[in-house]
Amino acid sequence: MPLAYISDYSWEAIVPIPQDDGGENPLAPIAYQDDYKTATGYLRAVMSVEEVSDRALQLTSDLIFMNPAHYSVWAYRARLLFALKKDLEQELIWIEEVGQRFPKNYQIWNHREMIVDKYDNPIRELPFIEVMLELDSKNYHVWSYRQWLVRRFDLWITELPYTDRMIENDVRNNSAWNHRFFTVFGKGVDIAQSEINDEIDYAKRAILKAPQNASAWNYLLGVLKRAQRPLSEIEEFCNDLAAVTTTAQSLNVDIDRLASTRALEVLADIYAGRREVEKAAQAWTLLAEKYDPIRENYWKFKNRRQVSVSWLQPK
Amino acid sequence: MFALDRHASFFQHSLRLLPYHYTQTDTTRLALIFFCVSALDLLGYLPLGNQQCSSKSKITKDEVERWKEWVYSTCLLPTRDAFRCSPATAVPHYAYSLPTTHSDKVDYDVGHTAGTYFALCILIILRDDFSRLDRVGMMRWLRKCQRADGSFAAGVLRSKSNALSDSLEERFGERDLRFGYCAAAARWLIGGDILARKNVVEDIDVDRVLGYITSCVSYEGGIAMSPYAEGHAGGGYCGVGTISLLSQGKVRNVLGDVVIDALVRWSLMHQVYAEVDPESDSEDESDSEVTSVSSSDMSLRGPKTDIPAGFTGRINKPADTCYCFWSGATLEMLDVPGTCSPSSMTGSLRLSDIRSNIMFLLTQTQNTMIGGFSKVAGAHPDLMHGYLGVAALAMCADVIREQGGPEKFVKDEAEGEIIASVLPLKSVDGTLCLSTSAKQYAEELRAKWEKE
Repeated sequence: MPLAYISDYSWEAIVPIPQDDGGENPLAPIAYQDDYKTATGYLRAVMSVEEVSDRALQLTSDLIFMNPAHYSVWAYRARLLFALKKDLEQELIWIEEVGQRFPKNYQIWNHREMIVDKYDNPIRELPFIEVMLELDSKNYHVWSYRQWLVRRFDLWITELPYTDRMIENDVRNNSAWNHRFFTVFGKGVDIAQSEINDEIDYAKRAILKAPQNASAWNYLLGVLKRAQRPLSEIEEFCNDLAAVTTTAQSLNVDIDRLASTRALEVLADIYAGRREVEKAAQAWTLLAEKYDPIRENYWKFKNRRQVSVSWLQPK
Repeated sequence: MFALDRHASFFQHSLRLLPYHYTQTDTTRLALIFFCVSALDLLGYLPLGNQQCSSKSKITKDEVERWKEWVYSTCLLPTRDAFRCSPATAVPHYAYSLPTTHSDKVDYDVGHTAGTYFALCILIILRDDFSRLDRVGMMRWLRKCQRADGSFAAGVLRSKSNALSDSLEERFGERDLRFGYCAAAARWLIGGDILARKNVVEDIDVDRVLGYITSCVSYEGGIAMSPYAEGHAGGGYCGVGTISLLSQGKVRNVLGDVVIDALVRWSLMHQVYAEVDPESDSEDESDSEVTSVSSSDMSLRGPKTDIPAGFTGRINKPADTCYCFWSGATLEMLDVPGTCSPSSMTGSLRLSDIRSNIMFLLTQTQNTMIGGFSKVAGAHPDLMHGYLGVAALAMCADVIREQGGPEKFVKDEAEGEIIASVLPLKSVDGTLCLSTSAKQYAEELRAKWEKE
């Protein structure tokens, strides 16, 4: 079967090298399509002499579209691009095509990072990321790449409003929440208490919209921990969401009004931290027996040990 | 019911031939082979030494020997210090006679940390003794793969003239926790720590690895694939697994009580009910997306204990077969004082809902027609999810055995039979993702090297 690039380039002077699959009984052989078999045959041939040519570059492109996870092709392509002094913007355009075709692929992001670093200009990046996050708003590679980009080109200023928008679109998008945490704390500079307060309020508002949303809760508790603020600061907030009223010895939960089991969990940790054993036990028992039976063993274990999650309890 | 023999035939068929859509995993073929071989091991289908082997298995000892030969002949580099990930990436040198001016050219026929890990695992399962490897050279190569920040690359490009030349050295591959795990497992399997202790070869920079993993601990109490990235159960597994392998299982000494407690909580919170998307109200939609809501969302609406709960990889994402292994094994490696005896091998996994996890895998993602498991309900089974489904169930079976049998885990007799159907699975070691018997064999090798 002829390949597109065979008509573009002459392959007469080179002998394709077939794959050595280890004899008559190969393990887990893949029923390759003819195109792939032909292309990899030529690839081995050019790689074995590290041929630096346009036809080799085209071959890497054809192969990546057939198998984007081919790790040595990516390494070869990167060296070819620089050796042939190719226009890096053209390469970025090409990557955009590959990325949209294979959104789950790991290698393209590593490759793009290297190209953009050399290109030294982020102009194409945010729009491309936008397209990719429209395909999958939780694409792990894309969010990690965005972090690299923000650091590399000092793009911090646009990020907080960006996470506002993404979280507004989907308040349960944990990737967007994580990016917000990176935006606020990843710069490595001191943060004003007023900014911390803003973030706490922001998370609280999101929790009120969706009281069971673990992403917003994790953010709230993560900010408190990072800022070394006490958990007791949100006790009232949790009382409301867990519909809890307390006396010195015990707590009352209005079962019809309880909106958030996480609020109840945080309260249990606060009680345990204050050695209010009875109250903590009541909260954990409710979680084990009524609200969160999947983790029954965990809540019972906490109850036996009477431990608060010290992770959340700043020293 | 657990379709043990179906799964065995699924993995045996896959070893014989894979359909072309596996082309996108062509360069990780050793991973595919590992999934098959290790699954057959856990299913009791491999004739190994004096071990019990299913009477239904037709795999012969000669066949197993040939598999071993095949791994060596197609994937070990001529330098004997690393493995490729696949015969597909081999670049033979005979086709062109190499002019001397080419001596500064790069050799693309490179070793790969993941390929090396998978090859060593396959060989350990098949009871090889690694006498054909250059173990000292492999340690040197692993050191070359380590970056200054402590993380590991997939591999190092070398020049054709001089293997591991420093001048041409160029690390390739993504920067995350996966390759560090592969390197740590490879180091343990070849007794690299023993060689280093005896001053035969310099060790990898263990402190830097540990430092890198610590920097990946996220604000959620989980572990991310890289610093400040989102907590991810795969990152949790690689991070905790690496620490466990580098510290001889003393994860708590490295991470400390606070981080461990948070990690246990975070991993347990990833167990979520499988449910058809509540927002899609068109019931006749056959391909309606399966998603999950947090357990508490469910229970607030009333207990629905008939819906099974598997594990997800990230907060607010649906349960998926592979995370039943990654999260389960992470929990297994994290011991919680007071929950179990010191000799327990299942750690804090017992704090999860084992029954529900088994039911998720058996009723949602198991394929009883052709065998294997799929990622989510209704998808096609594939080798990775197939193997990790089997391994996750084997881990659950370990907990059940440790707790004295299935009676404690079931609601009624009918369910008792279903749960008991996973008990024929062999015991599994979550840290290495191998059967416990394979791990014990590796320990015997290490004991031998220790005496050398």
